[in-house]
Amino acid sequence: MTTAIETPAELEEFRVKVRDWFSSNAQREDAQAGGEAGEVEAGETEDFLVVARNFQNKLYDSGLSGLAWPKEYGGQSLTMNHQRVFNEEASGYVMPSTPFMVTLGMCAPTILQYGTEEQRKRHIGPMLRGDEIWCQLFSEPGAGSDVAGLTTKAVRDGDEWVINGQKVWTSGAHYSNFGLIVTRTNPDVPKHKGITMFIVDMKAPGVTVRPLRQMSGASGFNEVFFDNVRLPATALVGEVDQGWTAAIGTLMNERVSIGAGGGGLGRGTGTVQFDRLAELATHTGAITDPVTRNELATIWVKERTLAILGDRMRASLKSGNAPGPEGSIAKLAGSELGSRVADMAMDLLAESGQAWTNDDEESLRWATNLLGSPGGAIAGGTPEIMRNILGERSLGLPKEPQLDRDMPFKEIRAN
Amino acid sequence: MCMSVMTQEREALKGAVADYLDATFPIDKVHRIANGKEDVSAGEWTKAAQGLGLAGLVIPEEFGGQGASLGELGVVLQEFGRTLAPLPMLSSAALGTVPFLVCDNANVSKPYLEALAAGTATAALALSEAANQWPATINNTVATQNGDTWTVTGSKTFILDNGGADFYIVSASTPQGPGIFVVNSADVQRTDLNAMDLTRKQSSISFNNAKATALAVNAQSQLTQIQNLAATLVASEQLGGADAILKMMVEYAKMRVQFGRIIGSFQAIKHMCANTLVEVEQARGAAEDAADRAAQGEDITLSASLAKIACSEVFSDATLTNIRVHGGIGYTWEHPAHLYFRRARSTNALFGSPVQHREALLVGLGY
Repeated sequence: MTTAIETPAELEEFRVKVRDWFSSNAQREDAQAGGEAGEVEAGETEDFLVVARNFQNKLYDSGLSGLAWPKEYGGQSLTMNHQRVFNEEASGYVMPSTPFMVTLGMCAPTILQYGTEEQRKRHIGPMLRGDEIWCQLFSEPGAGSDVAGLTTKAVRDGDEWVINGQKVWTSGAHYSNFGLIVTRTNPDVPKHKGITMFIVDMKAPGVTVRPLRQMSGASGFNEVFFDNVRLPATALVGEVDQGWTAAIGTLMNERVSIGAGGGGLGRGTGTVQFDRLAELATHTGAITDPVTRNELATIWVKERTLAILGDRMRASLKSGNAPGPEGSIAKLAGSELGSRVADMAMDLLAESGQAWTNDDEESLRWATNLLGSPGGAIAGGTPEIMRNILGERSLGLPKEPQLDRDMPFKEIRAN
Repeated sequence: MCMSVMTQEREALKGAVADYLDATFPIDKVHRIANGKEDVSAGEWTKAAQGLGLAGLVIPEEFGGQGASLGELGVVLQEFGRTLAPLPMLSSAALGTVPFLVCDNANVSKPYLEALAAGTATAALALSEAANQWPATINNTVATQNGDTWTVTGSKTFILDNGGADFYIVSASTPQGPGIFVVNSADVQRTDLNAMDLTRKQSSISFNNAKATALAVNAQSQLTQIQNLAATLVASEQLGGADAILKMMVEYAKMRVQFGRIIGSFQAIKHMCANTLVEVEQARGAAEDAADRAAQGEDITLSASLAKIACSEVFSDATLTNIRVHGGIGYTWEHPAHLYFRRARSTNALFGSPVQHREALLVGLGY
């Protein structure tokens, strides 16, 4: 993406700039339980959104957003080392950036890679500035692990396209300005060959967003209904019927983003989960118990290796490589860590993890974290699907025999 | 797939070493050597030293070495781990050499480093005195000073010395604190251990008033650094072994047919391979991160433990999974799977087991 080489002095100067910026513009993190691990649902209230947008605006206006993104689209054309320095300095501060994870981690890279020049110029800057929030409209009630089985239709009508159908599990649809949608444009060819991607204005007539409540009680996901929604020809991303390739690109970015924690904003340099658990274990007295110590150290190891993996993946992406199946590695490792952290907290809290008094916020946070952890594993593809992707794409193992691969889409058995 | 973030120089070095090892030590040959049916040709190490500069890879150029960094050494060790080549790369060029660099005592080290770089002598690191001690403690090895000279008395064990090194680097207590000494093989009694790892010999040694050269006294920090580096370097070698095993299981899963299908198309087998890949790529990050931090002179106390835990676990897990993917054939003596299984379990225990490193980590983190 960028070939700039920085000198150590430039990096140091940049570090000072970032440090100063954070000390005057951001809040120090207190030791909050739970938090990011396994959660993809923060940022639900209007207040949170305002705070997040203001923060992102300020970052952008100070030249600290889109560090490794090209200048011509509103980025800074800096290097991954700048991003690393930024992450190191940001560590320990509250980053109210969750609403931008999908936008910057998944949608913006897709527009950069597959969008038209006009789309890049129109959208990437506002995305980096936090003025546009995007969502990803892929999954459907009948197309979960098998996303390519989607049935939301796009039909050409003169210069326009007309969309009908339903999407589901759409994070942030209720506050998004735009969505990246994949649709069926040709049911007469095999399933992967009749899919087209569009940009859809979430405020367009015929778009209805209905929040879904998750097992944790939170509502980060939505169902989104499309009823004769009309899109202009300029909404097309890539070629007609070739949308699967772009969709795969988005999904791979998603896995990097979910796995390595923190989207295009990328964090994950610290060992936040370990710190919180170690504090809890110190508080309960379990810190002297050998079994607890062994598990705590294992969590530190897993958290650190995941952070290193995330750095390496982002370095590889930013040095121009397209996202590969490696994101699935981060996603698998990340969701395993999330569950392990949640389980350990429950072990440490014992009975008070399952029932607590009004003033016991620590128990509430860890319980919420536990209830969110299965979602972390499923979002972006289940562990089993990740293992299929790694086995087939990275290791070149043959697929399971597939009944539907070469059949026209309309003849495939569906739910 | 390899997510290594490597420079072109490192890629070239890796390629050259891989070509040499693949040509000189194909796995069948390693297997025959392990079975005692063939020997490593005399002078092979000297040849590798002179041809590829392996023996003196991290020795400064002024002593005849290549002056490469610990990052490069890590890359070369990965190749040795991949092939199980029975040359003293880890034992002498890494573990036997690094103490000289850490102690940084040029006047004393010069003749040793020159001989090591030329490949005409090998060294071995001898710190352990008993099982289940990490970091290794000095229990009863004592050094005594008589004027300008030193003698050492005591014993060491679990030494990777390729069946006998020319110099042993031993730790010993002195009135000024722990010291690091070099003892000539002629002045020690060496006993072969029965090693589970058939591709690498181990010894124990004892010595009584043996003449010793002091590399450093009052050297607790150097001893700690040497052990951190040892864990990091062993981890690099383990990573190479795990990589080779992942490749072996995937190749078999792509070739073996049962129930009318390639077995790798079954999710049960595919997911075993995928899980191994996930572990290997994480271990790669940990091992290369530790080696690079060491090369930059950073404190690697935590990184070394991280690398040793991650690489020990993936190597042990992968070698077991590989046997399962192969089924019965993988459990036979003739198949190379057990050579790697043995190496994995051996290195798992050496230079700190995962259990020991986890405790060291927590202590290092202040808990």
